[in-house]
Amino acid sequence: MADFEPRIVAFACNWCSYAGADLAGVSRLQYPPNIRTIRVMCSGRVSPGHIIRAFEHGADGVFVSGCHINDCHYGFGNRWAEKQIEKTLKLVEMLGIEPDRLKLEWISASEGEKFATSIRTFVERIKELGRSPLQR
Amino acid sequence: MEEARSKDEARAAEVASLIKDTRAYLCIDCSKCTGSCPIGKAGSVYSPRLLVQHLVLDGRDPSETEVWRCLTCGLCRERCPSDVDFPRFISRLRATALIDGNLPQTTHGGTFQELMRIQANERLRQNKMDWLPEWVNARGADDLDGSTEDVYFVGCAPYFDVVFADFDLDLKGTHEAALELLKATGLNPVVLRDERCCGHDALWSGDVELFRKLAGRNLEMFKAAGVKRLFVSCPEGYHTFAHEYPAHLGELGFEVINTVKYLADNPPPGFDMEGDTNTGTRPKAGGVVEADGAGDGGAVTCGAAADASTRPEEVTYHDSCRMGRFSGIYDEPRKMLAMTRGVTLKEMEFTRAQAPCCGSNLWINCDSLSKKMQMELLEEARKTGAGVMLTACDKCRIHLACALMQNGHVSDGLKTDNILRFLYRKGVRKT
Amino acid sequence: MTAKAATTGKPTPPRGILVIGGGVAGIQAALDLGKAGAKVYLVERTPSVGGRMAQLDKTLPTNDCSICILSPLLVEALRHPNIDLLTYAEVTALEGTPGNFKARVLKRSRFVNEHDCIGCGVCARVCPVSVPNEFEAGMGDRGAIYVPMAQATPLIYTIDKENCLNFAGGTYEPVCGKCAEACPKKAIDFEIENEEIELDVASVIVATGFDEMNPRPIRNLSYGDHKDILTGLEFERMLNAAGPTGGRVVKPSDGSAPTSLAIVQCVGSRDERYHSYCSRVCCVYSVKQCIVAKDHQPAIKDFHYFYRDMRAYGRGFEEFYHRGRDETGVNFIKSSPASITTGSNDKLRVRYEDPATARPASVDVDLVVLTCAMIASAGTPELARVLGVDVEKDGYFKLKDPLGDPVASTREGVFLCGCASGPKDIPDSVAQASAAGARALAYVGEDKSPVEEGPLPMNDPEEEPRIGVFVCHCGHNIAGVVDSKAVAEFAARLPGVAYATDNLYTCSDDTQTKIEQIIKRKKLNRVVVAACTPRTHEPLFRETCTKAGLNPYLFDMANIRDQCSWVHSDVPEEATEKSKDLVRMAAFRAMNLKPLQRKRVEIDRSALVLGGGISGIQCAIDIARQGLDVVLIEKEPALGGLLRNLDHLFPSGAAASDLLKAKIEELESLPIAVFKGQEIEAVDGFVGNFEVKLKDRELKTGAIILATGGIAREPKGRLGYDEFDNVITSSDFEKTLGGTEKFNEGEHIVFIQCVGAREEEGYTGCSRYCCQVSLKQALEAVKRGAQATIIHRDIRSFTRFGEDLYRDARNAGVSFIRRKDDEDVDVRGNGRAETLGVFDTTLLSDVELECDTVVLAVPLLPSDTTARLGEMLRIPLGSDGFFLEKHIKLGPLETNTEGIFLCGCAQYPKDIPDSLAQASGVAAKVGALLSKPYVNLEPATAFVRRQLCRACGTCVDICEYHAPELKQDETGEYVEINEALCKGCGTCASHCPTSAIVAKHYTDEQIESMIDILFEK
Repeated sequence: MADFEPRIVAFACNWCSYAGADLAGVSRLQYPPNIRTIRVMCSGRVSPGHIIRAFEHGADGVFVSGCHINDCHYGFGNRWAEKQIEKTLKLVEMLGIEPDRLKLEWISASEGEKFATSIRTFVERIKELGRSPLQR
Repeated sequence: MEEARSKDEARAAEVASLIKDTRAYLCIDCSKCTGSCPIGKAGSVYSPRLLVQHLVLDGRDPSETEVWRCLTCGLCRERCPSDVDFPRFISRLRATALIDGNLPQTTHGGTFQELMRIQANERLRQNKMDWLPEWVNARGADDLDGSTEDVYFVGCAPYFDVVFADFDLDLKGTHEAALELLKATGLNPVVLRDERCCGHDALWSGDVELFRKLAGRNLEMFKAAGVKRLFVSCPEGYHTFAHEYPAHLGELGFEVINTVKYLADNPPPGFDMEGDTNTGTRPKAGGVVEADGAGDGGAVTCGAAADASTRPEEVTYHDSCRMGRFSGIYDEPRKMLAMTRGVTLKEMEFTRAQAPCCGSNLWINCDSLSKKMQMELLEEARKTGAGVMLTACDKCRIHLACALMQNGHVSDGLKTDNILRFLYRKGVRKT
Repeated sequence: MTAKAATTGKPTPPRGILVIGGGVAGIQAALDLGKAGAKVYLVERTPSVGGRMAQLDKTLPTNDCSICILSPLLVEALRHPNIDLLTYAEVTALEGTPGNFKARVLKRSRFVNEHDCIGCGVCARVCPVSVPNEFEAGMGDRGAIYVPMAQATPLIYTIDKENCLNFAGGTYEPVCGKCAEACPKKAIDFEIENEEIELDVASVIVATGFDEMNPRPIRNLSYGDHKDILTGLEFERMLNAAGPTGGRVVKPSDGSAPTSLAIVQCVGSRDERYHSYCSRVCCVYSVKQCIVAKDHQPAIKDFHYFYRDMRAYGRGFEEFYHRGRDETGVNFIKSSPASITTGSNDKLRVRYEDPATARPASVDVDLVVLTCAMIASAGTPELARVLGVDVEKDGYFKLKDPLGDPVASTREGVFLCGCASGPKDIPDSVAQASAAGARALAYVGEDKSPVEEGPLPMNDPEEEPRIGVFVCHCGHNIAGVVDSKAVAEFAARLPGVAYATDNLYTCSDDTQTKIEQIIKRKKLNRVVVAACTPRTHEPLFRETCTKAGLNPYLFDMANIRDQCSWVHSDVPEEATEKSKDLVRMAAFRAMNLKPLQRKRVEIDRSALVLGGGISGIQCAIDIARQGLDVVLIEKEPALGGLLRNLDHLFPSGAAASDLLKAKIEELESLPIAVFKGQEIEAVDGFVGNFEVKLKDRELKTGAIILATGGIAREPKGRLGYDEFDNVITSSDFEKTLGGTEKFNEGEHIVFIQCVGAREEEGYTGCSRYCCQVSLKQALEAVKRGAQATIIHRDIRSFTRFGEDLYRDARNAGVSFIRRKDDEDVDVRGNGRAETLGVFDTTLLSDVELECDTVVLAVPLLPSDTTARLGEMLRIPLGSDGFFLEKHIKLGPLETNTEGIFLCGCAQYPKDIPDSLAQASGVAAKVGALLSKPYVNLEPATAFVRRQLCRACGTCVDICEYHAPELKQDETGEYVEINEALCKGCGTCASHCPTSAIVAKHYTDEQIESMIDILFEK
């Protein structure tokens, strides 16, 4: 298990979180190379189907990030995302997938450090959990 | 080239066999199906006859949309003088459509298809039973020793409850009620924590491979558990286990029992026809209303008409396709209602084998026609004056609740309930 | 950055507008003007635009991330074809006459070739010099070659001659050269010289912002003696996640976590020894800092907040102040600290008078934040000389007519906005910026060329995909970690890929030409670039695609630099694998991409102004001056609105009727249709195409402006208003002040503030203008022989000359009683109000006053048509009942509905200058919107597949832009998404139960294809 490298799908909203991830880059903050990011305009675009699909296909973790509540570029998208992810989290848990494998994090464009730390923490947590129960 | 030819050949063979299996060649061009089809009634053009005849006569497949449009409700087959099995005809064609890359239009961003697919994963260990009544013995896939004779199958309700939380339908309540009612009859069924999706939607959407995977995993588990009797409340699940599993995978080696049917045959206390508080008219079992419901005031009062403490409640009952036309269970729910104190059944105009479709199926192709069908069904229910519309199918309930929704809020007025949930609330708890 | 290097040399033929200062105000003005078709030269002294707002962590009261909302504007300005960003430059001369100025600009040498620099930052990493970074308010360091911040716009490095070793002797002497060696593009050239540019400009906008006063001279506060005493801006940087401490709140002295904090207000502000004016923004920004600090550092238990008057006057500010008090636990102490000294245990001791006991007290804290005066930016006197405009005695640029024209300087054709004319918060600054834009635009005349946007090239969506993949090395930035060649080879083998290559610099001009040729030659119908971030470079590559005849929506990017090579530099193999995955995902998405066309909607180039008060009148005037058709509708039989209730005006003392008369005359001199006694009865349509129904006619209009004002609240049942004739409202008293009549000697007029404002029930906010009204009235009453007392809770004279008015009132003998927040004044009398009882928190005792007249300062409430209009136009209202703006900081003039604007008191109570600024500002927005006979709609919107829609209304409920609309025809109900309103977030698509909604360019198929391919074995 020491060699286990988790495969993680990340969703990032264009305005805050994707910009935060870019800032982490500009600041050369290192984090593990386990995530593959899918850019969406708003975290509200991410649907439970996308997340379960990722797990079904073999993701060890799914990371969703958007603007902080009240900061949404569109005003309302992340509030809906929050509800949507809450539901998805329940589904994921019922499917016997550890809920920690799905993480919703609010990251702003100035939070490069937070992006890097969040990914680091998430990857570490996934490593602790080991390979997805569906892939073991 | 070689490959393509063999593919074409396989396809031709499949088409020939499905024509034979569904008796499509017997279509006598009577057009009853087209007139019966709820899609046509809702305002679109859909002719099962034409689709059948095209395939049989000139080998033309249904179009991309036609192949997915059918609701598989079975009303056409019910009325077909030649008993052409159109639902199966179309669902087998769907299998070939999938091979051609023609995919159905899924609802809810494909969430339910993903849930179905992920349940085929052999390593899956689910965690969906935390709501079970305490007394229920729930066993995991790794904890099966062949000693578990009576098993209760829950199905997708826990997932649906999450996705449709806003509708507040308490679909798990159906199974909680079923388990309690079964317990009241003296049973102590076990629940298998890792039961999979029964595969109903996969099968009828043409994804036979996925269906077989799901069914295989379920059967493996049932076998390991030592199941002798499998109790199922969900009409789709019941029909799938009882009919499709044997058809696709051979002899099951255990009995599949519909919960409502079982309860009607073995009424728990509180539903006893000889109940001492029951001074109302005693209906004949299963004979609440004449078949096919002529429906004008055909209501029969029973039970609690004499129970002064309970306000009489008027209900109506919707025969879902998988419960009724597919499984032939019409009388048993009515019998149960007749045995429930304080409940009056007011029948809708079209019941039993003639009952209309709830408008949607398989989490595909839901649209304004679906809504129209649902609105009409709700209107029929309202016309009876009943406050609650009961059904055995929780998917019907979801679809009807959706029809009642406007701007993200379910409007009040007519309520829907699952018959088991209703019976439990009305019956057992009070005793 | 190679896409559009800053313009150098020759002036362009059309007369442009010179905007000086690249802070949020300058950027806003430039964008409004650029969109309206004017050529804009934006001159910024520092190497990057962004100004003060870029330094902020969060903006209040929503605690919105500052850079998140600002940086898209910076990128937009950088890429706008009508805007030339001249950074690291200064204006050195302005000659000529309004409409025909000649400006000279000195572009200082960066010693970096702007065209070649790719902003990779390798140079800064090797620079041996370390000096305090101005952008970090001195809290962090930078090299001699640097960009001020990560989001620097333009992202071009600059060598600071003052600190570079090669210029130690003043002139260039090669001693170091490390950066030049390291630069992968060989962009550094120490021989580059300053450049002088001459520009033809019609008008000038000054948006030079502010500086923070250095509090060092205030010796009793010990700034500079103790490391743990910070200024407000320094603390802001400390709170910023991208700042020197990464957002951690620490004691600079030892890096430990503070547990207590003191905030000291009015350091150098409201202080005649330093700056007598109020800095206007500090009270609430400090509350924000407390809330954020608590969030970032939960160890902080105590916040001691020392203030004089809590000036929480903006929308939501009062509630924000209470949030600080109730949720964060800030201890607000109405007292100004006397000194800060060393306390016990390495703490700082703050001495002050305990307002509750009037005794000296002290508290020991870990960290002190001094909110220092905002002062005119350092270059103001010099720039004033260059521009030939005057400076006010407060150090800021002088306004010619602060009341009637809040943006005009003392030289015609030169306008002021933002903090150039005094401290201001962000929404007031951007409103002014737009206002200055509207005024400046009037001088350009016909020299306008709005950016024409023709139809996009379209490709056959069904065509077999032929994908071209271009993998960038970005010099060493990507290729130093990621094996770009291997990635390109990998890409070449992907299905659908017809061509793949790697480039040293994919963004450079020559590569663009090459890509264009390859697209044509190889008949590519999809393009993927694996390089830096789409946030900055997607527009460039899309342009290249368009030039090559490829629909720009058939393009995708894989971010293998910012989100790969730069963050995984220690694991090159994994980074290469990740790059391959990212390229594979982009290529598969590309296969599923569909060409999109922007829809052109013809628009009606006219505007409709609702409300004929001062805001509506000004707005109509400024729109008409741009040559657009305007209709003004007033529900009353006469124009003037609230201004009709006023007698004379602060600060000039001019008669209100004169101002109104002048404005109405101006209005009537222009071709503006005015309908009085009319209200709108129904509205339909969308941006550019509204249909408005009046009582007797129907109008078509392209834009609607809500200038519906407010009405004074009747103080029914309060303070003897119903009971006594001599208890009146401010507007009643304003009438008494009409004329010049003297008061009886010693007649006592008592003003009671906040009657029905800042209260728990009803109107919770501050009505913003009443303090100054009462100060003005009290001063006038005293001048005419009366005695005056103002009973208040805080005196909120925050406007540019407001503090002078307050001082004048005190000088003239007006008395002030500060009452408790939660205790009303007791008005007693018999037939007439005779005495008042109140607890005076200054004297700490009950006082009793005799009174002849009691004047109640009542708040302004939304006009009675607001709710109805809100419903009709679907413009949401705030909890205060006024119309809600699009964005509390950056969108004060717009609503959530495109094409509908708001100004003046329709948004919330405001004084005349702020209302006028907003009115003119809206005119600029309208000018930009109506600059062309059409608008292009963003193609990446959502649409409903009608046959799948069951009209459940989920989307209608979700979308706050009201883009989805329930409709009905003979076939039934359905939803249609109005492309003109949709912003393309896609939230509706993920919530649509039947998946009838498709979010174009982010479809389920496109997202799923990326997931699927990622895990394909």
